[in-house]
Amino acid sequence: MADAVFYDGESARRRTVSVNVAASALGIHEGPERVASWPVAEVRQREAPNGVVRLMRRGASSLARLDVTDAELQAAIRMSCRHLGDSDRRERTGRILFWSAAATVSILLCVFLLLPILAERLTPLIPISYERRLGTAVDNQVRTIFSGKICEKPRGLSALKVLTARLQNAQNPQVDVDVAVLDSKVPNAIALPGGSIYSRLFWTRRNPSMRSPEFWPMKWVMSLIATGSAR
Amino acid sequence: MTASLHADGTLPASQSSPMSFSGQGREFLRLLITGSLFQIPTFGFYRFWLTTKLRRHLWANTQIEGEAFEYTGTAKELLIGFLIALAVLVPLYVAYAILGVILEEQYAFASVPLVVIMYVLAHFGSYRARKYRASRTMFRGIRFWMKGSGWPYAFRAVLWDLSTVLTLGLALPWAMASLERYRMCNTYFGNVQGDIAGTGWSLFKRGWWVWALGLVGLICFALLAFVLSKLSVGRGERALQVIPFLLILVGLALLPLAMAIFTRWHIDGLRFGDVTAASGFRAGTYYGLFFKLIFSSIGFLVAFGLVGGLLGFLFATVFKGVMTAPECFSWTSVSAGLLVAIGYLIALLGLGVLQRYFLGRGLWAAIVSSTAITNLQSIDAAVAAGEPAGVLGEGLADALDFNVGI
Repeated sequence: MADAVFYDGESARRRTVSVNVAASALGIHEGPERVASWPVAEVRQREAPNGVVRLMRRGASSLARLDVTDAELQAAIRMSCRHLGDSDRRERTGRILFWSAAATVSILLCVFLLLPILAERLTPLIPISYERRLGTAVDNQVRTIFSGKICEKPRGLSALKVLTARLQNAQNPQVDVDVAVLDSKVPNAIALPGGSIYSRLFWTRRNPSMRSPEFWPMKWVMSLIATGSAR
Repeated sequence: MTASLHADGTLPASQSSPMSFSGQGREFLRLLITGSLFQIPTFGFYRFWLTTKLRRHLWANTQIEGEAFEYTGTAKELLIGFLIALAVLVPLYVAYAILGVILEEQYAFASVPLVVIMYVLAHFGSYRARKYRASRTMFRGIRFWMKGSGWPYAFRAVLWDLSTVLTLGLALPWAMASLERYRMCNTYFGNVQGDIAGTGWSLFKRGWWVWALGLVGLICFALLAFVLSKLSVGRGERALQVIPFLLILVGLALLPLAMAIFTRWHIDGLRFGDVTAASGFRAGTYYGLFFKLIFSSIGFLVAFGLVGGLLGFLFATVFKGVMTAPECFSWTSVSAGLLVAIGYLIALLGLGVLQRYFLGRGLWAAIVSSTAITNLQSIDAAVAAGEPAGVLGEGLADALDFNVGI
């Protein structure tokens, strides 16, 4: 028999109780009156400050708690209640590691296996009108960001026209690409979706990194445009 | 620990009971570091368990007159909340993408205002998250809980944000007071309703000079920018680029002050029935934590850079010979990439640990131990009421990365 503090979970009143540790149950008494009796198998420990053992009864919907500060009583309770730390059993780190790894593998499989397959199957099914819409949406943004920097001088445009016509004849006559030239320091090109007509290809005229043979046609374009639309 | 309490649990009338924080910094740091490291192999899923453990620690070590709070939430609830939030957000993002394409087709950047939806949702989520936290907080065997709905709160918050922006921050005290009133008047301890005694005017009186200082700084820099832009090109242009940086610096210097004033106002105003609170929180404490965070982050990054550079150098010299062999090339490059990715993760997690340690735990402990509660005995009569709230809000706040505290 030793003193502890009991909160019944019904009111905020603090009740000083005596605890009787028996083989089968913790008897909780307030004076002569028995307040509660918790079977030892159902007693669980909760997080509490150092020096305090806070107990609850498993499964009970009430928030009743028993705070034990007496070291001897704590030892007696630890002796008889064998399942104090059991609530954490289902949250063991190994389980968490395993299931997160499983979830990650599933996500990775989706991204690297399913998505490419899906993309391959679905690409032919996407109507050209939808591709055009996508292309227009991005095209609007590019034109807003680079307004005034797109080459529109007649000489440059005519040079570009000659060039793209030659490039197209040399490759696939089916594809009709709409090419525009941007004044930008960043060496880059954007190809937009939208089928033959609405495709737009932007690139810079100051691109030093086009030395390999496959870029020669482009290099030639550059020189042509440089003479055509000197700013 | 219970020496100051009478045997029957009553205290003399209007006695002041100091709050205290008994948690060990080392213990919190251990939880934080192991939890952060577990996030690497679990690809971040461990954060629900980490958050729950940290909250349990903080709540359990927060005491009024030796009586500790308790956090009853579980990690599984947070995980489910996150999944529910995904179920809400994924269709929303898909609809957003489709609507975005349709709008952009008409006019460039027409879809940008759609971000507003996320912003409203974030306010909604923050209220619901607070509701969840309150109903998982227990004191003396009684649950805190909240009434009220996330939507009216989000509506108010959006209107107040708008008026704050339009008045250059002048409306901020009233905005904070109004939102805090909504939150606190809907918060209950059992059957005892909470309230806030502070008003927007009282908050303004405490903090107007910080606002004025910030405004003066803003005007000065605007004038400076104007003068510099009139000057000849070259030097003036370079000086112009420094101004935003200086502005951020001024903001950072004033922020702890403003936060400290708000914290004191907030805690001084807290009411639960006849229970009142008083705060002795000082701005100096806030600045101390802020500087500790900044300097420890810099120290961490320098140390990390040194170790990373050394490892990279070693890696390069060891594998120099191997790199030339064509069949081994892919494996070394893959492992190098993996090492870089892990290093990047460790740097991010390290910064997160420091932030949570100083601004999470440090601030919590400082605020708790500078607070005193009066008339605690009046809650003896409180009777249990309220139900645990749902987890959607926590999930939304997590998924939208909307910071709602620890």
